[in-house]
Amino acid sequence: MENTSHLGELEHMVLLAVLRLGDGAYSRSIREELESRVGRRVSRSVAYVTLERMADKGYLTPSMGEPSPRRGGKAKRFYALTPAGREALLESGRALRQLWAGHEHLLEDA
Amino acid sequence: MNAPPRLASFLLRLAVPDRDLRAGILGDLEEDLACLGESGASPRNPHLWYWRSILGLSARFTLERARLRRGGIGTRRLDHKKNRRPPTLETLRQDLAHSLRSLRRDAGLAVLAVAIVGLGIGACSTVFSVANALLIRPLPFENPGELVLISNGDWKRGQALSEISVQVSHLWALQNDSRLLSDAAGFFLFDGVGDHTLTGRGEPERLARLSVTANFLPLLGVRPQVGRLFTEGEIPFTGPGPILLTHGFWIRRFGGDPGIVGQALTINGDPMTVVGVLPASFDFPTVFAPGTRVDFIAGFPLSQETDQQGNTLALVGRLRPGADIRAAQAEAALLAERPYTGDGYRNSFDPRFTPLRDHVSGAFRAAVLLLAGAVGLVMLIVCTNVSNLLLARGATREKEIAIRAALGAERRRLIRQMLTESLVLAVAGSSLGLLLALTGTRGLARMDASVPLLTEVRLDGAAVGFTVALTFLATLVFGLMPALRLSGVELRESLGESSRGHSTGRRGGWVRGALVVSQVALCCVLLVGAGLLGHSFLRVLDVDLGFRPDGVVALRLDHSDYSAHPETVVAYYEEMLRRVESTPGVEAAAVTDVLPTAFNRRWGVSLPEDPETRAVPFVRVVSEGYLDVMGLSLVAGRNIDPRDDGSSRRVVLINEALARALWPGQDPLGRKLSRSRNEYEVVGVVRGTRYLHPEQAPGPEIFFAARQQSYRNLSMPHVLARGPGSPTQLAAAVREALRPFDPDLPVQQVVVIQDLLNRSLSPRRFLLLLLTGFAGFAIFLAALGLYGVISFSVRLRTREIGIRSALGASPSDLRRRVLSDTLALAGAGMALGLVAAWMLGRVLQGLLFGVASTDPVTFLGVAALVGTVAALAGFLPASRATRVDPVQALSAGGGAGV
Repeated sequence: MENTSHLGELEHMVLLAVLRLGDGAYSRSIREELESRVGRRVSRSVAYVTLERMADKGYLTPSMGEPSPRRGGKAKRFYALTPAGREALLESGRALRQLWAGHEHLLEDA
Repeated sequence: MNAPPRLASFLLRLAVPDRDLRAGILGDLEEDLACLGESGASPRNPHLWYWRSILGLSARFTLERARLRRGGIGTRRLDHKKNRRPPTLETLRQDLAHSLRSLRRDAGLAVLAVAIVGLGIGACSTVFSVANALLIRPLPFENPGELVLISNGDWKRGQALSEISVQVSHLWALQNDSRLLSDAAGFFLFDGVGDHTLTGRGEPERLARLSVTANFLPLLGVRPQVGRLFTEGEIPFTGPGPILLTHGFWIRRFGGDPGIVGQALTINGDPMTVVGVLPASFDFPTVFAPGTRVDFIAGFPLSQETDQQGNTLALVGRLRPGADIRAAQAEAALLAERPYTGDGYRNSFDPRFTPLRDHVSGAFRAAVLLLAGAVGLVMLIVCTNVSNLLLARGATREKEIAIRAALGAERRRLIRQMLTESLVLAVAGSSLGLLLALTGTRGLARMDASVPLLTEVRLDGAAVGFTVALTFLATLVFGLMPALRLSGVELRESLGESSRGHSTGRRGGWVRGALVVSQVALCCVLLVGAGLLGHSFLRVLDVDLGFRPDGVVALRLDHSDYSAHPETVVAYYEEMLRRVESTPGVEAAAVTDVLPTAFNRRWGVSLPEDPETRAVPFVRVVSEGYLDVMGLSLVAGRNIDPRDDGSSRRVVLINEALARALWPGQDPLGRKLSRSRNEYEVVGVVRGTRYLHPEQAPGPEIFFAARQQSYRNLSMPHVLARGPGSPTQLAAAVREALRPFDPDLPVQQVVVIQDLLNRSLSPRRFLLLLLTGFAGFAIFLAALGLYGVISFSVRLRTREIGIRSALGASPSDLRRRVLSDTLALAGAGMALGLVAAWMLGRVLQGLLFGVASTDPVTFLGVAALVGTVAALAGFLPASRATRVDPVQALSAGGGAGV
């Protein structure tokens, strides 16, 4: 694991959103989740590119849902965490927590 | 529901090749739009919203992909392999796929472009194949570059064969004493087609013999397919000897049975032993005597007797490697001047050496080069036309190109993309072209024309290579200009222009205009060329032959029994004539020994009182019906009649030219002339005939009475019959009348005199046919080009036209405006083209007959034709302009431009 680079901030957030949304994770819901939870507005294109990049890395698996008329007869592209994605998320979270450990108060004081 | 614009979706497809992802994205977009609508925040222009969203997405994905390709950032082992593919191959694949997709969308245009390119390349490859056979490809002999034709003086059309042929003793001198020729051989020039009759094997048949010296075939490097060649020692002076069959005759008559070798065939009553069969590749007529045929080859004996027969042989020599043809000719001239030591007489010999290739196709060089030039012009028109089509199409694609350029497509990549598109067109077009050329060359090879090596015309590797090269060249020429122009388009400019409803293609207007002007000009040059040749052809057809060939058929006759008593021979011919004359459907019949265009035999005649006043007229030995059958007109005196027989005074008819030559300014009737110890009285004068070739003015002619010659001395006796029925009916009637009379007479081959003349015009017809085809194609393309440009400009100016018509311009005003645009372009092209044609006309001079290269009729005709076609091409768009609805045109705004 020494050589594995950690997730970028946006990647981290997106993976967490996918984790939270479970079966309902697709581009629109993920963007809404990020906006409503942490006020982070992600543009459409950035969302797709990030999701696809992580799918390419093997952290997410895309799958197609059912087409719906509301979507002009097009299906949703859902994303689910893979074991590798889970691992990466855990690893990044652990790294952050380790760095944070015992230092929150330094910032809160300031 | 608002669907995204097609062009935008297409753009997305380029940026996001993954179909599922794209579906997901488009679905999300629709959902977004629906949500916006529900929250009352729907965009004012959904179209624009889509464009903005998709542009952003596409840009981001394109950037991402570019980043990945460069190796990117981070660990991407999975991607790594995928992007390792050589970028050039990968982009080529993408370019190809994109080209196919985009051409499929414009299927009509693609089909048109492919058809135009196909026709152009087909024409080019066909003409190349002709040029290849006639001028480029080596003759079908061993080391053909060393072969020379040796004639006695210059070998020109219409020259008497006895003047260009050579005596046997001169051949001996060359064979024995020339140091620059490795060998020399001869072929007999006076074998008449049908001099020989095959009997004893079913239906009797007239055969065409070729007599050659024993070393003729070895000198050319011809080896027999079956059996062997004959040797010098086997050739008898007369009587039975060894023969070789030509491949065609062997297949036709003996079904290709090799067992025929060793058997004897009865030819003219003699048993001739077949010793071998020649390969199909040896086609003597196609090289040496186009339009004739050879069935079998016999040996020509080189002996004292044949030497004393005078000038009989045409010679072919083989230069020693490295020998200079002029040095060899000079050497031969020295040999010919050595004092003669043999017995008998020896004629003079003025040796002229011509490379065999030049002798064979030299006369057609100009015509073939003309065709090559013409086809080059056609190809130029094709290229400009396709360029124009692509430009017009490009104008409607400017937006797409602009967006792709904005998204980071390099200019080089865009150019390559567009060149790929024209390559796809060119490859499809040249495939079609090759098919057409295959058909074209086959058609030409089967054409029965007196053009040498025509049967050798075929599509070979060289032609295919030529086509492929042409394809790439064409791609560059017709693809590069649109590609360069379009790839320079700026996004803002292009989108901005079209959104204001302006012409997107106006800047390209002058380019397209210039292309159309040059098309019209090139087309005029071709039309003038074809027009001049066509006019010449009409002149040739119109020429006064001095005789009427229509409605006359001829059947070869022989009384081959040379030992028969003269009276028997006369009786044979007279009875034959009587039977033909009394055949129903026959109006008149006669015997002649020379057919039109067939054989130019000349005899010397002189005045008995003044042997120095000589002439060498063209000779025919005829019966008294001849003038009637062939339609010659008697100018003075009387015709030969039945009383002119062996017991009466010898009489002749002469033509005006001979009368002028022998008795200038005097009345020739009753005068005497002598010919080899006999004196003849001139009883009649006839008008001259163009008997050898319609394009050759009549020379001196003389007619002997066949009966007074006891029907001997006949070169190739034929019975002629004239009748009102069709030639086929007439031939059948003559055949049925004669069959019971002489069962050994081959009656199958009846000659239609008109066919002989048509054949003599076939090279001219051949050239005219091809050139007219090209010119027709050219004017079609020019019309298409004009139509395309004008209708496009009408479409671009819909708004302007709408305003004009709203302001009260009448339909006829509008129509006149558009038509005058068309005619201005066409007029500029015509002016250029006609001036160019006027300057280039000299090139044609040698091929014209009775027409000047600046023939005003042709030039005016071409101008009228092009003007009419241009007006027609402009008429459709013009009438479309009159139907523009001002309200629609003005409100359509942005839509009108695209």
